[in-house]
Amino acid sequence: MTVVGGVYRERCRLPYNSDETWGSGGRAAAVIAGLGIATTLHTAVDSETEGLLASLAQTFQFETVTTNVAATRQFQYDHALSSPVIWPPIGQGETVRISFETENALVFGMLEASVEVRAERVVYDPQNPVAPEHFKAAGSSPRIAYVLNSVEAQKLASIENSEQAAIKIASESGAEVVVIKRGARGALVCTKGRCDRIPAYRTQRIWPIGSGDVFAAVFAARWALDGLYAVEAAAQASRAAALYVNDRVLPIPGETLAMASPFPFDPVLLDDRALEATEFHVYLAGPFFNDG
Amino acid sequence: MVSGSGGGTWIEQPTDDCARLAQQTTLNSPDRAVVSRLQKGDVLDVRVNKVGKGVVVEALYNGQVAGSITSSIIQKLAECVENGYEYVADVIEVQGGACRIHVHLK
Repeated sequence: MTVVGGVYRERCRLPYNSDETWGSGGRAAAVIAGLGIATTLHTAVDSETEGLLASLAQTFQFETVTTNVAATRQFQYDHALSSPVIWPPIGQGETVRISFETENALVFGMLEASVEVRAERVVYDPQNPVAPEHFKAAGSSPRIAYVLNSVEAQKLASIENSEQAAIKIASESGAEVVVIKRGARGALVCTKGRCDRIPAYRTQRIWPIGSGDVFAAVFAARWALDGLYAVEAAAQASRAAALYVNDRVLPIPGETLAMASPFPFDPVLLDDRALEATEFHVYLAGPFFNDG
Repeated sequence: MVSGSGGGTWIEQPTDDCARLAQQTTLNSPDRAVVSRLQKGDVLDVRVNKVGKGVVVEALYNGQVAGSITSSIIQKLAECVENGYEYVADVIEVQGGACRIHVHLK
């Protein structure tokens, strides 16, 4: 499996000062390689990050093909539910070109690279909630699956309803599958005009940074490489995301992903209408002060 | 999943000094059998193996590999080890297969 995506430094102040270097590309490569699949990551990093990436590749056993850029981006979070400050800011810095040919590709949208991929099967995650773009295939048309979050789907399709957005995205792009990640609401998997819902899981802890990368990685491995039906691939991806969200540990143990395997968390399938009409998710973020 | 936009600066932590190099992180590639024996307060040895351009940094409990350390300090940590510094990792929390540690000078 070939992965193309960013490698970024991710720092988060709370609950403790964490400082990791992953990005979508690095994290997905570690996940897929951890499933026992030969994996190559194409990415763009500065010379300082190159050694660290080599260390990650050695630790998680994937190959790398790197293009040099002046500065690897940093994503700086106050806490895991906050929006990051990105440095250098979006729109600044150079854009390089990454081009390759492969059989199965997981393609993440990148801030510092335009990507040209020739592949037979492509899983595409736009990674751009501000202005998501369609995948642009180079050469003959591959089998494509889109994996994107609700905000990206709404913006890409200009439709608020997720099912209708997925069907429009499939129609416009020629994608065989559109998977919409919806956080606690699980995922929506749409193929040939029909959508199925995949549950999320009730974990004990929540570390959302990178959970979508893990989902996309496992979906790509199972759908593109192993040939599972999209619904089954997404169900395994949802399990993988739950394990990551709870433990924040890579790689993901593959033996726990099959639906027949025992799993430590209960599935949750929230009702869309109930949520929209009467219920709200409230995140309580400290600190709280007692002035009594 | 990293997304969003913005700008600004970030205050660099004083991580350049080998004596003050420290980081909290979670053990990756955990050996579940070893991790299951760990308790808060246990002290793990930190071992650095140089492989090509990279380094593999492992945390050991009684000589057995408990997992790998992959946070952004590992390149600097490897340099410091080459210069004679030794590091350990205190176990802060173990929950299932997840083990949070604090890496610091021995």
